[in-house]
Amino acid sequence: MSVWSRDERERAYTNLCDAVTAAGEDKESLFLARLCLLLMEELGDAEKFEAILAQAQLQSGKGLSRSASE
Amino acid sequence: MPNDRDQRLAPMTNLQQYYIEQFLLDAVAKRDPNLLEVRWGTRVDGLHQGRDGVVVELATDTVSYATECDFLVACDGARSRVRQAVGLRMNGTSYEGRYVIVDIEIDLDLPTERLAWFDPPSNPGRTMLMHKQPDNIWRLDYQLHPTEDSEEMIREDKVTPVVAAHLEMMGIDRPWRLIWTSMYRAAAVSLDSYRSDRVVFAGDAAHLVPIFGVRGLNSGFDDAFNLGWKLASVIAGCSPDTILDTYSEERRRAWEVNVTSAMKSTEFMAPPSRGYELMRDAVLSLAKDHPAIATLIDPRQSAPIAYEGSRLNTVTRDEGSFKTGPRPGSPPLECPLIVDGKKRYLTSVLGSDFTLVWSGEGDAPSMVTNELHCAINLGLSVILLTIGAARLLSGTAGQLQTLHAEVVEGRFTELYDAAPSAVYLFRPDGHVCARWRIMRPGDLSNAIDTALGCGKAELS
Repeated sequence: MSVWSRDERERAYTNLCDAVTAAGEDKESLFLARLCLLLMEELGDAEKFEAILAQAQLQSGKGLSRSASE
Repeated sequence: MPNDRDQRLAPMTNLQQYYIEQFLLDAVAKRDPNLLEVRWGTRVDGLHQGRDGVVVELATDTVSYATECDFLVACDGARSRVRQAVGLRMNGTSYEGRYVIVDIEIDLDLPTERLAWFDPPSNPGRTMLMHKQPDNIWRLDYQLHPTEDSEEMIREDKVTPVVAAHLEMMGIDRPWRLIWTSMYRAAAVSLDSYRSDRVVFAGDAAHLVPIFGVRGLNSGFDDAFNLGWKLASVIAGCSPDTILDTYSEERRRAWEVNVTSAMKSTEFMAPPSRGYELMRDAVLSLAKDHPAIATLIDPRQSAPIAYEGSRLNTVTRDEGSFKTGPRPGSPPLECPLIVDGKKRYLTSVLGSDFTLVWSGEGDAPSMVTNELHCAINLGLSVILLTIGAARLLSGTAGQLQTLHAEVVEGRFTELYDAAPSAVYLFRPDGHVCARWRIMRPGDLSNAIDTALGCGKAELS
């Protein structure tokens, strides 16, 4: 399903890490929310989006509790 | 780490430094003491480079003296006194993240693998690593909090509660003993050149890489493999001393590749900023159900690095016909073989000189043996290894050093793209320097000349 090459994924990931740091701790949620909206529009597939939304939800034992409480 | 049926060594084969030192001393003891001698308790106080050699000032606690040498190889570690005496500095990046390294002796029945905990309940906020070493020794690495003092945190009274809490979390209730502790900070620094006239730098004296991925001593060994045969070739008069510059070029590039991988591991193990930490936690929470995202956790263990583009390589007219297999400059691909009815592996069969491997249908053409005789008449050492159906024509061997191996389940043919025929030339350090489908007169001598740094390719 994934079309990323390993190198591309790693580069994109590093850019994402740097962008989160650059946003600053007080603005990182806003930054990530904007990123999600843009990716949602790019995805353009309601069914897929619902499935991804469910996967990203933090259930007990799945997501990191620390991230969930922050 | 490669872990398939083609491999000679199991992954996580782990030797402590004190074993390696003893093996090296055992090897020294087998050599002519007039040629190889260990002088304990001796330090370097200074050196002078002349046109024909190096004068090194040495001192013990009681005596000071000078000694001369043609070449000096500085393997004197991260705080190299030789490097300071020559006045060189390493450049690069140092990271803030610090790790405590602890060896404990404990009898555990856990499998041989490396375990990593991010933010474990036993030690919140720390990343912890644990792996097995020989003799019931287990190595733990754990991250220090930014506010903790390095000197204080490696003291026994500070280390013991961290280890005890961790063993308790793992449900381990057995006696253990603290063996050794140290502190580590990731650094990616290197000299610009590993050669300064007749002084050559190797190992930590030349470069440092972050600890994650076992690239420290391993890249030092790769330095030694690369430098050893080149130095021998210069001293024997087979190579100009400019071949030592290719040691620096090849190994400095290898350091750059190593650092790129090691920095990715470091960013994951000791996140340098908030973004890396938050994203790392997100990756960990999704990794179990998403294999593609899990690839971002790859610890990128050390692997031999290809010397692509090295001026010692020969790119032959046949290169384009190979779709796979190791390209010129690549390290050998491990491959099982049968020699004299016993299972062996290619890396243990390759000689300490050049090795020409011929594989194909029927007998090796006389061109191959003619080429070998030419090379040997020029004083070049080369071993011929024939693989599979290939045999030497009877009576053509003469003074050639030859070896024959049978393929195992067609693995050589597949790994080396060797059908219908292939000829590979390996350097003394095992790296491929040329390959052909069919050899022509002059091919072998030209490729060896190039690999010895005296070929035509060097002029371009």
